[in-house]
Amino acid sequence: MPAYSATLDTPLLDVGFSQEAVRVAEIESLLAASPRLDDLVNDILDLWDSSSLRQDDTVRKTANAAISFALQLPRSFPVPEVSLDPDGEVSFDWTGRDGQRFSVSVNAANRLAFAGRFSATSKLHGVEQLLEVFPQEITRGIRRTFEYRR
Amino acid sequence: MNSKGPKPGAFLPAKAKAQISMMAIDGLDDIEIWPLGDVVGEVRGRPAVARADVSADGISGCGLSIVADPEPHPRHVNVTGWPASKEEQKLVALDLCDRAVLQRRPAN
Repeated sequence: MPAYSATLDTPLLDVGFSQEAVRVAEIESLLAASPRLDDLVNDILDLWDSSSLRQDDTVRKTANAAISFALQLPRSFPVPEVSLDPDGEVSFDWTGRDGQRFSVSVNAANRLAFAGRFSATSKLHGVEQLLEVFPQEITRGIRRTFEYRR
Repeated sequence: MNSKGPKPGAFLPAKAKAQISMMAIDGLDDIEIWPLGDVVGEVRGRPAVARADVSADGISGCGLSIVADPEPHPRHVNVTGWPASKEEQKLVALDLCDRAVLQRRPAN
């Protein structure tokens, strides 16, 4: 059976973070109240800091949008893993115990492109906009990822 | 990648590209496969630390096609047929994650 392999890069290095162009005081108080959220935001800032294009306005706006998304995540949900998509968007990924997956990509315009795969026949995808109220479709997708499967 | 397998972003096409690069590895041992990843990694300035192996059936089962492209290597292929929208691409990437086997490069 022919097989193919995709190369995976080195993990991004932790080079510290910068809080340029974010709402420092407001965010600091939120992060102080939630160590796990603090780790998530630091991961996002590390991605931005290690980007060769970090002075690019679109990259900065994408980092800000990703942080806004992270800050609006329901506190009761597991912390996602974050990474950079090849197109520069920030991806938030959740993986359930039985292989369920849900992923949201955030771009500079606060557009949320999401997809979920909960079984071979149970899948979804769509687009939401990050506004004042956290999108219910995203909440449902994260919740389904961690539902117990018999 | 994470402990549960490759991340979906590892499979997504780059912006304005409708394909991803992979290497055909059938008939090769592990010791022969890793240098292929380094060929791809050379373009990005990063060595391969892991790889995600998928069968041809797994790729076509996601609605994608395999097209031989011997540059930069005779075993290089392009995986084409990606949908246009980001959210549909992400779903295809999740399907590939389900079909892929993560292999971590042994430390030497």
